[in-house]
Amino acid sequence: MKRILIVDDAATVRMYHRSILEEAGYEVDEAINGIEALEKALNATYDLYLVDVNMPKLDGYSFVRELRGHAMIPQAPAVMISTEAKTSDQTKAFEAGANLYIIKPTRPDLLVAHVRLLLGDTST
Amino acid sequence: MTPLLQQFLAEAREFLQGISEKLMQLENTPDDGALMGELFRLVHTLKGNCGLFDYPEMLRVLHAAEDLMVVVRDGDLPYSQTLADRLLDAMDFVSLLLDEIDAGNDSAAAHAPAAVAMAAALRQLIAAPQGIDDTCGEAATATDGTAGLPLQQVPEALRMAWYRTGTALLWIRYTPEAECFFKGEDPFFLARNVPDIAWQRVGAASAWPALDDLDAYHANLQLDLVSSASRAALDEHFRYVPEQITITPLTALALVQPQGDENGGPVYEDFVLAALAHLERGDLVTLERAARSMLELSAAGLWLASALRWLLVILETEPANRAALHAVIVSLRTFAPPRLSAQPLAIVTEAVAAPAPATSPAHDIAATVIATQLMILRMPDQVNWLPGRLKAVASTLAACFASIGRSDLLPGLDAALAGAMAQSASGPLLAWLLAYAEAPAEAADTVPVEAPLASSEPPVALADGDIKFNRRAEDSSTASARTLRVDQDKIDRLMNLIGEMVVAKNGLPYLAGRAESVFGVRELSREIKTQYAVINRIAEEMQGAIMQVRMMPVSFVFQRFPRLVRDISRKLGKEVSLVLIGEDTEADKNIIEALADPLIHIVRNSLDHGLESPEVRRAAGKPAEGKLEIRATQEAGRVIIDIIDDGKGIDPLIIKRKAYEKGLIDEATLERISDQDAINLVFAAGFSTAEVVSDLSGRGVGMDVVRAAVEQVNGIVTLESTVGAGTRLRLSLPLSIAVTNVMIIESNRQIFGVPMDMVVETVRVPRTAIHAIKNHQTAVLRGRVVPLRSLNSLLATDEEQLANDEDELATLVVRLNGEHVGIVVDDFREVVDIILKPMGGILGGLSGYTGSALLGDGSVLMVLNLKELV
Repeated sequence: MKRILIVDDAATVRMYHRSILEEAGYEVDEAINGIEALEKALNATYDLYLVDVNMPKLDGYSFVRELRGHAMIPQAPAVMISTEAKTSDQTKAFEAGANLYIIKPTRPDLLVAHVRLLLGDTST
Repeated sequence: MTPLLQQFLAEAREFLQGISEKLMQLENTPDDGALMGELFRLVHTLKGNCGLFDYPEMLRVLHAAEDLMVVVRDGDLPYSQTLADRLLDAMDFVSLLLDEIDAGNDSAAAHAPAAVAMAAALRQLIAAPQGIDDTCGEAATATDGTAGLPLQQVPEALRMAWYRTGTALLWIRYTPEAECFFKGEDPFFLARNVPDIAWQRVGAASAWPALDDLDAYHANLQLDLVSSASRAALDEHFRYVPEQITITPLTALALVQPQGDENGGPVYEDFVLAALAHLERGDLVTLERAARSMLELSAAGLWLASALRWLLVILETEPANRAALHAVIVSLRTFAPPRLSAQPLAIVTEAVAAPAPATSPAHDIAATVIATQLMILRMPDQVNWLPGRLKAVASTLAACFASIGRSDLLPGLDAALAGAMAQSASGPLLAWLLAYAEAPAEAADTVPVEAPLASSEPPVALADGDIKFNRRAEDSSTASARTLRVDQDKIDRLMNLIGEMVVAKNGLPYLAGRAESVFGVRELSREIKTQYAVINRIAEEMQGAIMQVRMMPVSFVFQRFPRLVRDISRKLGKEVSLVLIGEDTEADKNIIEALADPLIHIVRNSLDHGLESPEVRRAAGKPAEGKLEIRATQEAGRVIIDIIDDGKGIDPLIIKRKAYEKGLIDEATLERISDQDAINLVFAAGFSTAEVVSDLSGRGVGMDVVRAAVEQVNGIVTLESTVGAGTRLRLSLPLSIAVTNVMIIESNRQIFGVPMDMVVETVRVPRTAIHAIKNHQTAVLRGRVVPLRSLNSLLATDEEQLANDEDELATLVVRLNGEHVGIVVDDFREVVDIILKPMGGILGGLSGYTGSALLGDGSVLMVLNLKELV
């Protein structure tokens, strides 16, 4: 079973994404900020990261940058999910090392479609 | 109510609390950028959470608040009290909506007008955006005459509807003469009666002059209308004012004017290239899917999103118009309105020459993902984390290709990645991906939807050991969450169980006694005592741990005071600085909740009656700003809360007179009472010095309510005050109310309990030391005259108290209403922990007892309410 790490400081958003992804058959783990996410990435292996932007202690951009700078962590795809819709924010995310950018709030079917693609699952 | 909604409500309330706190802190440090950043993040996250649900009223207000905070955070708008007021009002409104959601109300729609007004009030604080320039700068280059028309004034949806229907439209610009009113013309009447109006707008022909210079009879109007009537009909309608009319046919492409935020980036560059390629090959189906996919990832307010919407409209209504499609695609790169030579508005509905093969939705998303990776690979390579970024792009592409059935591409991808890693550059991977991108049609053609190609080759050994595509999840233990929400009912039940266990363990000493005296087995008695010691230690530790679970910091109550003090002091016109000390002090949750109302009442009284206005304070030589300090400490197993103000204090003379007028004291007492006793009269029932009832001080409710609430949880209230200097009120509360420590006494061959927190000491008084003063027996203990009361007489029995062999009386000295009283009993017994249960049912009327408890030997212990008995 593929494992996904949801990184978001809002418990409500984590619960929302978790329910969607577990329903789709994935194993889900959570982190409430970038630092906790880095700790978990160092302790476990994930196949995909869903990363919020605005978080305390370590924001989404910085987390992805740290992740990409870590030789010891397998480099799984990262999806930035944010309410910030400006293209400059997306460019900043891609520079940091994100592979896709989705605007919040995500439609469940669209989120699942993107996740399936990024995890290499064939369409149903 | 779903768990997700419950989570949202709980978290939303936390965010509201945080927002309120940050605003209070900003009052003291208006220039604190970090604080503003935190405040923005709280509003931003709350808005994001709200977006998961269908609460448009709440979302509208939060969206406006977020936009306001962006401006404040970026330093374009300074913090001000007006700003704080409006944000606090907005958060109160959101809190109201949350309460209604919690109650299951469906009346949110009734709040729509309030939400609109509140959002408008917030947005009003943001500087007005630059007015839209009605004059188009490209008039000189107009080829179809529409360049000068403010077509963007027409809503995009309306223009799209016009485009779809293909109706011939004319733009009428009517500029009445300045003197038209003197000629008897009515421009509005004429404009309103234009046949077949599709849209209209009233504007000014030139800038309005100052009000003093305005001539109401001098027309300054420019009326714009769009009509689907014929040119002939319009000419007939305006036949009296033809020189004031300009009529311009609207071409189809003229309607296509994207609008919105012009942010852009390289990601669209690749889309443009791909789109132009699709258009060149006539693959309109793929073009449409790609545009839809890109639109999904774009914010609706962007200029680029607007252009994409127009692209889809043209594909829908006029797919053969390649020139228009090309113009719109190019505009994605240039941000300029699509340019084309003028042509009549006409719909061509030729069928597509060759239908493109069907593709699956995954391919649309895959195209977007691949385009994104392509864009990432074009970014500068000079970053420390480039190797990780390259690996991530490769992982993404590998997953993408596997998902669309192109696993055959994986070996080439691996080789390209190996080359890129060796060179520490994106070049090799970029070149490989570009080569793949040049053959998209072939890729699509070779993928029938019904039968995706399975990879016929085994996975090739990877050049780089770190790369593992489609890896199976590995089992590993990860740290669990740091916090856990637990129902209070469960904690309360746990508390009851530990209490019962404490009582049960107290049976062991009794059992040990029986083992020795009844069964005559001293060894068994000793073993029971040993086991009792072990169980006692474990039980005490467990009890302490459970009570710790119920402990929470007093900040839970203190946190509402900054807002309360701020609102009330502004309303009263007073200046008050609030100092909170010891917010981390912990106490039982029930104690803290019982504290909330009394503390609020005390604070209100201090603000209303204690602290003076700035003028009065200055006249008295005090600082204009009053100080209110609320402090919490733990002492000897109790929580002490002090509320101290530097206001005018309480005047004993006024208290005495008021108490006499209210009949609380007689004339003799009026003459004799001390100042401190007079001040304590504010706690008497029925006492209130409030001359005018106001909403601030609880409508004259006296301090007796405060004392009653505090004493209900075995608390003590004391008051000290100095005229002109201030007042200090102290609440002393037990840490917990679950387990009570009592001393067992014996009287008239019965046992009773007395709470240990009232007991000052136990002493045996020689009968010869007892003196009668004014018909009351007293004794001098430690230099203090203490009245003596016989417990038997208090309990209305006729028995004398028993003395010991030395003719001494067992006397329990207790603290009652700040005084010491000696209770004469027959004998003292041990001190025990009990679970005190209130008197219920028919026994509820026995005011002499606070409750009962079960002892280890099975007997029932009555706990005395000495306050009532004495």
